[in-house]
Amino acid sequence: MTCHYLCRTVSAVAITAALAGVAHAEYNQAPSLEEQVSSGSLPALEDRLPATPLAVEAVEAVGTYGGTWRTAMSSRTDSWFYRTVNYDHLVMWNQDWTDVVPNVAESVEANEDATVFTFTLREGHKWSDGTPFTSADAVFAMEMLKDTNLGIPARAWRNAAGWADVEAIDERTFTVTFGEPYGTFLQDVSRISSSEMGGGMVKLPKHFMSQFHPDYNENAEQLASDAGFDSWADHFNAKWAVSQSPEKPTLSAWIVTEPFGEGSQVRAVRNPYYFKVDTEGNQLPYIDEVFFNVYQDNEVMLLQALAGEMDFHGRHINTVVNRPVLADVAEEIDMEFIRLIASSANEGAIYFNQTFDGPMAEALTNRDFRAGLSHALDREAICDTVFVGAAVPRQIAVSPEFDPLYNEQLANQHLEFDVDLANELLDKAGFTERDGEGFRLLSNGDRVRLIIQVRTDKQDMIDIADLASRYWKEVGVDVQLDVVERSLSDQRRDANQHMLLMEDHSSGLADAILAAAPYLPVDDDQGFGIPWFYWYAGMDNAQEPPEQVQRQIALYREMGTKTQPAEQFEVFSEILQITADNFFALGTCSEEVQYSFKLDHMRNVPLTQHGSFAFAPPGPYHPAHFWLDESMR
Amino acid sequence: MLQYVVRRILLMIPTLFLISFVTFIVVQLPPGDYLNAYVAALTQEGGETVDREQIEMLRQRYGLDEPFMVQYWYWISNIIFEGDFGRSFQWNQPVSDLLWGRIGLTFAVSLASLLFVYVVAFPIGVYSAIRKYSLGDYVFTFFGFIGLAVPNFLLALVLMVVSLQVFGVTPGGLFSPEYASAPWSWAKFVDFLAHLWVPMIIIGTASTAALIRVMRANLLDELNKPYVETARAKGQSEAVLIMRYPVRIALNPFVSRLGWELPALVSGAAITSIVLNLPTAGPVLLTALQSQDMYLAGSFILILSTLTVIGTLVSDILLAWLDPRIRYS
Repeated sequence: MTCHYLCRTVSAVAITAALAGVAHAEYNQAPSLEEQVSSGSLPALEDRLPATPLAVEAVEAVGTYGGTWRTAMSSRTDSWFYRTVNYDHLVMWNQDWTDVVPNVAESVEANEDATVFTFTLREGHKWSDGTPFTSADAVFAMEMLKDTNLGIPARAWRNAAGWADVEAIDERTFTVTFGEPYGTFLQDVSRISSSEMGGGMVKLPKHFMSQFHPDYNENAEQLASDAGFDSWADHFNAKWAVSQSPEKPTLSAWIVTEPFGEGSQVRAVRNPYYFKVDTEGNQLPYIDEVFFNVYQDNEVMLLQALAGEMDFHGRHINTVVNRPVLADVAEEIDMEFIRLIASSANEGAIYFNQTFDGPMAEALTNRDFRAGLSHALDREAICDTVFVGAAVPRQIAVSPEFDPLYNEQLANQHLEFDVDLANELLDKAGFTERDGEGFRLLSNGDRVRLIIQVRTDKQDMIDIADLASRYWKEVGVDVQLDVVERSLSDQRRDANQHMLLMEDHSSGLADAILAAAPYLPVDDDQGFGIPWFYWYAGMDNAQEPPEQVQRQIALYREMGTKTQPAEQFEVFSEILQITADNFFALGTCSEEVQYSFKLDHMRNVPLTQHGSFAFAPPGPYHPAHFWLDESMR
Repeated sequence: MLQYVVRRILLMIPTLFLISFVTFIVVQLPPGDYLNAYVAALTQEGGETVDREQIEMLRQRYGLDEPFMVQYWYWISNIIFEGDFGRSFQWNQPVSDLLWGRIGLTFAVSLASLLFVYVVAFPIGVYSAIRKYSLGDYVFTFFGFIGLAVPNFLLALVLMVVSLQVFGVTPGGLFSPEYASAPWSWAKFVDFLAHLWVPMIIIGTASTAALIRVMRANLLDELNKPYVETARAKGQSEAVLIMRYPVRIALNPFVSRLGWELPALVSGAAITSIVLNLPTAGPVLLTALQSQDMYLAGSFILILSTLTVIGTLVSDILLAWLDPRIRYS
């Protein structure tokens, strides 16, 4: 087994931890816990911390204990909840988002061809009820993920060859084995997933969850029906749902005490067994409790922020439209904006269905036609109108902010607004004849009449499509909008019925390789070649893709065998070059910068953060070490 | 009378069956099913792609791949024979856990605003009718029409912004944070009452305005009738006269209103409840319908329909008792 890029970071962290351990032979804890220890209701701190706690380097300064972090959420599986109080996976992103570093696990190693990953847990690591966290928990968790009765979404833990095998070597060590190389496995473990199991292994404590499974408890079915559930599986699923199950032990910094669903709030309080300390040996988290108001309406949530009653928040209401509203009161309530580096491959990606069955295929599959339509758009005007200047014109591409994958041609080809050039290209594409209304004709004499399918849930996209169709009319191409509800849009797309499809995508930074669909057909989250994706996945209704797309898919599979991000980026750059040459889709606007906001007294929160969903901000910045500075209130 | 009541109760059974069936159809009418909506919600959250196989697995487990009639039978038979309303996919909880607490609070808010409406609308309506075209009548009419014209949710938002700007507090909810999840106690009840007046007034305004107008119009019709003249000629004092005869007749809409007050409060107040962040039925019903959480939505509508049908019956009986002119056939 060779040592890969992880070892470097692992040892770095290990050294920091060791140093912290040496320099502070005694660890400190929150005053409230101190009391519980002296009254005997809680074991001593040394018995609660693992032998090698994770030492967190403070963003600003070592903090003080206490206070409530007031924020908000809107649904049971709200990602903001996971990103703040629940981002404690086995491994996590580093703060520059260039690498993966250990978190719950003390270290991890991958073998040569990325099929076997060996995790080592921290000695003496405990769940929030004091029960040891061991590799038996991991083995149990994998068993549960595989259990088809439960159907727990856990994408990271399977690849083309099927589910991972998890095997315990000893109490602290276990291996995860895949049938095929899975180079991005650790990245996938580091992401969050709104379907709850982003953390996979770390959210199913065996000693608690096994009582709900009939393999471990013959009365599981009875237990379920006593609790009002139809089946043990429903009961089990309700019990591990983090935001809903206050009884379930956790490894995270705060324990949910008031679950989602009972009232209009969720409360999570300090976990006395949390495994992180600061550089002076103070056990984290600093903040006593996290308090979420539950809102159904974002305008009302905004009111809470305007009243200065949100210490730090970065979802639902941090929109372009709300920025001036918040800026208005910023000074009065001592609030500051946090710059989020946006991951936006495009906010209005327009896909041309290359596999469309019908006369319009003649237009859709013609590259000059697509290039012509691209030049017909005044993107400056579109982006300014729709995003009030918060987005810039760009094709569907990785942002220049992320150098390893930036491709100039992909980002900027056919980008300038030039009606003459557009007409020239459309003529060159063969659509020179026009009808009485000035619209171009197909070779069979029918008008080129395209329908662009747009979802109802994003007004931005509807506005972009509407503006685009007006520009296209100017160059003689008739494009009609078909605005439909999201699930219907997905359904039609999967049935390959669309001509043009508008979607929005992140995948504009390091996450491009994790959600690669905008660039090549390895998922259905795109609109240029749904049957090609079926071919890739070995599903029904497949069509064999053209040679250059097959080449992309081959490269993508090759990327899967690499464990080092740098190598992965190299292969993916080749894929992106082919995407640029194909030009199956055109982009409109990309968001450069997004924002979240915090009150001044909330400390240790970096003022520039990665903003992508896959990065899960503020998770990788260790929310446990955020603190409330009483002197600044 | 007894025969009438029995007949009405028997009629309720097929009515409710029909309602439950239509409800179930309507909830399922949009294309796709709960899982489509679920997947859409996940991908919307940001770049999450969902495993198709797993979705198919869930679909089988939830029985969403079964024919419509099978699903309906499964749902309705469980309700009838076991009192089990099924489970909410979206909330990951048994429907009954979600249902009763919210229905109770919905009732409390509804009753409170109903009382508010009656207490305000009745005297004003009577006053406006008796002092027709007086200054007071014009003032009340003016505010009445404003109340009628302003959407409740807008009023709620305006009130919240004003209270934020003037008092520096954000109203909303039915409880203070410390009581929200606490078991019921006297302190919690007092806290509840302290919060109740905001939704009570906001939800009540539109109905108040409407009822004032109805009361005024009805009473005006009655005031010119010969029996009023007769009573007055007999020397009956004005106050007793008006309260005893014309007001009693003009009261009919107050009573017949009872039946449809409840569904109006639940559906009409949904947006207001969302804005005010009330833990009542409206918001849950709305999200259940949006995400096609069919058992939850269906059960809510079924329960509310049942209550409405009962409410209508009660109001009909009251009306029959109040107004002898009404026939039982």
